Amino acid sequence: MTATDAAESGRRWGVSSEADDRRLWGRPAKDRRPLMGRLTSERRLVAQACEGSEEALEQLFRTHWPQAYRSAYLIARDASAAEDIAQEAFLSAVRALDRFDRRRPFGPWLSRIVVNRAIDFARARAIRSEIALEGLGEPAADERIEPVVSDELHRAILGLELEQRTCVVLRYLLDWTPGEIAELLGIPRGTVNSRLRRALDRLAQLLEEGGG
Amino acid sequence: MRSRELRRMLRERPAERELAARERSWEVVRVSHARRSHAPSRRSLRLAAAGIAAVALIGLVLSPAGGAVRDWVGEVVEPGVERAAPSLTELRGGGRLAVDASDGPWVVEADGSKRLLGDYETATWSPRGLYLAVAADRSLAAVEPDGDPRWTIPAPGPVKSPRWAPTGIRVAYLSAGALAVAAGDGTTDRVLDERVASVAPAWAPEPENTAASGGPTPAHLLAYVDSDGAVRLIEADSGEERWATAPIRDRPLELAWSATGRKLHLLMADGVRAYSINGRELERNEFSNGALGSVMSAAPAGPALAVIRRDPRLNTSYLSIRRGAAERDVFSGPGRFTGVSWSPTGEWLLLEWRDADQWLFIRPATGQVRAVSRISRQFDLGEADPGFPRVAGWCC
Repeated sequence: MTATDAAESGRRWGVSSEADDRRLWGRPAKDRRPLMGRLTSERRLVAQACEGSEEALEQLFRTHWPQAYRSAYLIARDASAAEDIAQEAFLSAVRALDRFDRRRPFGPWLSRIVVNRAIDFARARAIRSEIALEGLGEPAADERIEPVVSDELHRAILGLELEQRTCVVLRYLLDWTPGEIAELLGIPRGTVNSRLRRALDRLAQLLEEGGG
Repeated sequence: MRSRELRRMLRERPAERELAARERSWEVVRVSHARRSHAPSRRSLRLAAAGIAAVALIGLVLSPAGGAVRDWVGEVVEPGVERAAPSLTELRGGGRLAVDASDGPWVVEADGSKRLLGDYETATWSPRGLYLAVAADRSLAAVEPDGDPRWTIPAPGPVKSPRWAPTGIRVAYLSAGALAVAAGDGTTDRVLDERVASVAPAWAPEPENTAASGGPTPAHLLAYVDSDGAVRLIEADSGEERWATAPIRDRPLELAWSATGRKLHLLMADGVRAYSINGRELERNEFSNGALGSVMSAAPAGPALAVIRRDPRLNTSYLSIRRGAAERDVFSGPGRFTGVSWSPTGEWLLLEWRDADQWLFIRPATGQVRAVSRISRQFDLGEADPGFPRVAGWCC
């Protein structure tokens, strides 16, 4: 019997000890500075990043990563795709730093890239699912697919239709106004409002069904 | 639900894998930013892209392996290889795969038949393929390839990156930001370092382990990256540290030992480094043209290292074989290559091409390519989001 055989059939070893149970999520305190102060600070960070400051870039990255990733994740419904989409958006931002209009806020500019790419991804996958299932005689898959997600709220949002969850992300995560959402999506403002209303109703229903 | 409450909850709750994705992405963004000041103009980039394409085509046509590959390249219209097999009916190179998918890990046999192991997150083979170590929510478990559980031990947090030592007597894993090692029979475990980076640890292969012990019993040398970005080599049984690098600013993305254990490869966003078993830096090779590294895999025999790098400006991924500073591109395509694994004999490579939803079996020596399409659907039970599966191990 080799060492491997012995081990795989059950040999004992070692000293037991336990690691401290630690919280996984260490979030910084919410930035409560006035909006103008934040914008001025952000412009300075963009300018410094443009001049080569890694610290400034890191601050921008860590400030905007949660919204970028979450937006992509909730719209695309895929963690790997969300990572790629958010990462690509930051890489695009780095490449475009020289041309960036510093009078504009950085966050919405980044969000616009993320949201557009996430919508493209979700649509492309829905089409691919339809093609893949055509020969099998099954219904189009996109809206029946439910990812395995531990967070109840996220799971409920992922259960919404693409149009609804996009509006929810833009309005309640990214804080865009209905007018701005309408402009980005190329739809009337009234449609945005009705999608938001239906989405909130559906969310309440899904959370109730899920025991929330 | 009130909109105010919804706002608060959305802002406060991290999404799945958000933090790990942030750290991986920061390294990539940081390196891209550092290179920016030396970046060529957009016009020269376009010229360079045209040049690369031309050189690559010439290379494919002229090289012996390229003769076979070029036929495939000509047939690529959308991402992916045309005439791909619609289902997985054979593993070129034999052996068995462990595949992480959204429903859990699967075992795929050489004839393409597959079995879902259970409600776990990820799997890794034991050295002889008798068991798989699997990560459950807050526990590490060992199961047989048919899914029968053997043992389970609790962990302080979600378990990530389990890695079975070549001797089969230890299993290393990450949990709650710490590196721990469990016995191969699941009886005991202990924490080796409480603050490590989210990079899979790497056991030195058995020949070097045995040599390092100075006796008939193999040592258990384990390389890992600590939370400051330093690479450390420790003897896992005694906890004795053999060597450590200074914190590396470009934190390594992956670690891989060469087959003999004489060389520890570090994949960085901007290149590949190698250290000797004694901690001496042997090589430092940077990727050209601003490409960014993402995945590597050391051949089970010989010095070859398969590396995936990606040029974000051209949205093109490259699979290359490296032997020290010498590098040869084997395959390239639009979008993302998300993984590469060697067959047990080292004859074939399995390239995971997410944007094409394909797996490619590539034989580097001859340039043979066999593609299988609709991979995500083949690991989908119909109820969960299929996503794109990840090959977690190719075993004997």
